[in-house]
Amino acid sequence: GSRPEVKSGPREKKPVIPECFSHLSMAKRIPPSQTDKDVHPAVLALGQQMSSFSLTDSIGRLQGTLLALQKVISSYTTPQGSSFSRHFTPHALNPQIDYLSACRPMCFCMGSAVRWLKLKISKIDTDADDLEAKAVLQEEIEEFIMARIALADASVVVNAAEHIKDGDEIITFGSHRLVESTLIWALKDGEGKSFSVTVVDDPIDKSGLVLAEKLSEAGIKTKYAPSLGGLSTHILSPAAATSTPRSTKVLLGAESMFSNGTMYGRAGSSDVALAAKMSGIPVIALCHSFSFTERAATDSLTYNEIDPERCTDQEFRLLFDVTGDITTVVTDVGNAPPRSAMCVLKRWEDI
Amino acid sequence: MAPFQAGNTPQLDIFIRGLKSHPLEASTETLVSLLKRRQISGSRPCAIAAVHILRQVVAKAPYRDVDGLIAKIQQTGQRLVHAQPHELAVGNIVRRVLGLIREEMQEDRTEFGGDSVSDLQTLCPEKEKETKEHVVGLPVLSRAPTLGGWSHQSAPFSIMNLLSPDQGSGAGSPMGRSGTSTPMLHGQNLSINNLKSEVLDGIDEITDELEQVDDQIAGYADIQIHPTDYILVHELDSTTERFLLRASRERRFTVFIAQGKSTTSKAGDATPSLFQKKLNSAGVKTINISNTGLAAYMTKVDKVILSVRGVTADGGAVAESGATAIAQAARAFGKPVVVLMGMYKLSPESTPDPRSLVEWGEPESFVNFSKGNMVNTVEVEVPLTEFVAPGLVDTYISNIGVHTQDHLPSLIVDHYNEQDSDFVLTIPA
Repeated sequence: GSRPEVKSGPREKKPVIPECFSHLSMAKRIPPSQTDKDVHPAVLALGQQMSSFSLTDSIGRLQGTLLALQKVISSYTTPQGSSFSRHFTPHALNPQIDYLSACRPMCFCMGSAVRWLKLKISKIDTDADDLEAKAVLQEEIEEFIMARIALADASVVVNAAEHIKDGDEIITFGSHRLVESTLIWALKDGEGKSFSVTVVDDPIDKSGLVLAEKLSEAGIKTKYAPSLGGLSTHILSPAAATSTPRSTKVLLGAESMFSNGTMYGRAGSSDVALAAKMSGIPVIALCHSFSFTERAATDSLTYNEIDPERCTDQEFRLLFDVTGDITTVVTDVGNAPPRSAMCVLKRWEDI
Repeated sequence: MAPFQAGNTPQLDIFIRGLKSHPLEASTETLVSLLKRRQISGSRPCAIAAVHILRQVVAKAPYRDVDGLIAKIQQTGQRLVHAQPHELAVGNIVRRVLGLIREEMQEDRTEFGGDSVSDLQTLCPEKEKETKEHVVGLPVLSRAPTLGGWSHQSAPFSIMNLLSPDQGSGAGSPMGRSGTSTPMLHGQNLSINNLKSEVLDGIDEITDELEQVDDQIAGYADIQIHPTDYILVHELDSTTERFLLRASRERRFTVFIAQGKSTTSKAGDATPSLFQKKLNSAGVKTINISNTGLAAYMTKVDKVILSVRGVTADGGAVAESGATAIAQAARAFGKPVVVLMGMYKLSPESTPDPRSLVEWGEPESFVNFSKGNMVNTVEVEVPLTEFVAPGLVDTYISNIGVHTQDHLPSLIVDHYNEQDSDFVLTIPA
């Protein structure tokens, strides 16, 4: 939804977006005083977390949204003369969604979840009373979180850990919850499996540093590279003269998979995947089947987000990029070559 | 990197000013420590410092004959290279000066020999030299031509050389001076003094070349940069800045500036540089990109310009860390990669091990040492520079022209003497 211009935001500087990137979206902080009165307090808090990037990963945002919407549903009462399934979506749900997407553009899985929820609402009998309708929805959401998030998490991790073999030298970029869980699972579950990990990081984001620390605490032999510098020359395939072993696999956490088989990931992922491809090293992407989208993107400037913290006339930064250099996608429904993204998409839509 | 207007860093200026008043050994010692402490850094300042100290060696050092002079230059050259092994430019300048001396020596001897020395020796200058070293008692210098730059041509003349323009790059092509004749003077002292002044003139030409190199490279800017282009530059040095500023006189384009190093700073800290202000006021848009990987932008980019510290004989480039990822992305998206190199950056060495040229940084700036377990268990590697593999660069633009990888060997033959290829390893008397 369009809102009046924010006059005095927390940032003094007005964002400057170069013309060639003006089609891309950007998160913005909306002062609570300027929000729609219909926005539920739980959603308000969630929106602030998203716009301030204290909640960043897509599955976390999806889960937060569903939990907040559960609260919206339970505090809702259908006005006299209307039915739940007709009234809830336009008058209670949409203002929440508008607010959330104004705080930060929705990730693809959030968009899918909202469509799924609207479908469920529309299927509720118009004669059903509030109590009945709410109970149905609460249960649906509960089940969704359990099956599509918690169980899917576990399935991806178990499937991906099978790819990690004894003696592997794994490269990962930044941090991703699925990659972290996979590596730790592979260590704990695999008997006597020994592998090492190099965490390549984005020097601005520095989330890889936290991952490197967690991995080394878990007992995995860990290396840390603060930027992409030296990736091809030292990390992926060091010269024969050195004793450093050549890396064997690249593990990347995906934000989303497009239907044309390209991966939407944290900015820098495509550079890592490309370097790996040039060195002949397989790239494994980890992605929930629910994060697959029917959209297609061949380049990184079709769908992307601008870093709101670095959008001045002196700095510019994109948050995501798109890569076509993925060897295998590991999902909760199994392994797939990236080209078969459409099949994965069909599978979850059928459920 | 040197700010592009001042030309030199303050430390370098102080060093050059002090050269006249200080004894040679003191100046050499000062320069070695300045290089070691990286108080003189960047390939051009290092090259300028090297050429100045070598001029002092030629002018002040005690030597009786040409071989003595060569040995002195080699000694000083080795100290400089060991002080800053990551700047190929230092070794290149030493080789250029050595080549200069050998060339003057050859001219001198050819004329001298025709007059009084036996014809056999004149016809066979290599043999003559060896005989002479033997007589003087110097150890025979090892001159195994092992390096890649000398692949097929070793004759001082080449087609490249014949076509290369003399104006503005006199020192760039040694043959430019071949017209100067050495008067036939008999007697060692007169001859060596003559040679000294010839060599000093040659060194001054190298100094002039170093002064003019950025300007000459910028002369190719109009041809390379087209209206409405999106140019991606990685790490600005004085050469790249001059190049873009020159293009901005004629064209309106957009520059993506990838800043690998400054990305460690906090958001919102950056202020526009003088260079950016100039570009902007000329109507050129600049966008500073803080992403670590730039593949995301490649669909938009028309051309990539890499600032490099040095170029090896096989066409590989020593560049700031992150350059390989950019060059690979450009290759994957089919965008040309241009390297701007003054001839002083082109080294006759090929590098079999890319790690050997890499300069490593301190991990402290990335990993907080208060995290004890990180320090103990996690290995952190911070390369400051990296080696961009030869195949990833499409075009090399130097002060004497636009080249491809295939042209580099003949450029090397034009600028260096094969005997000096491995002077760093040579053990002088």
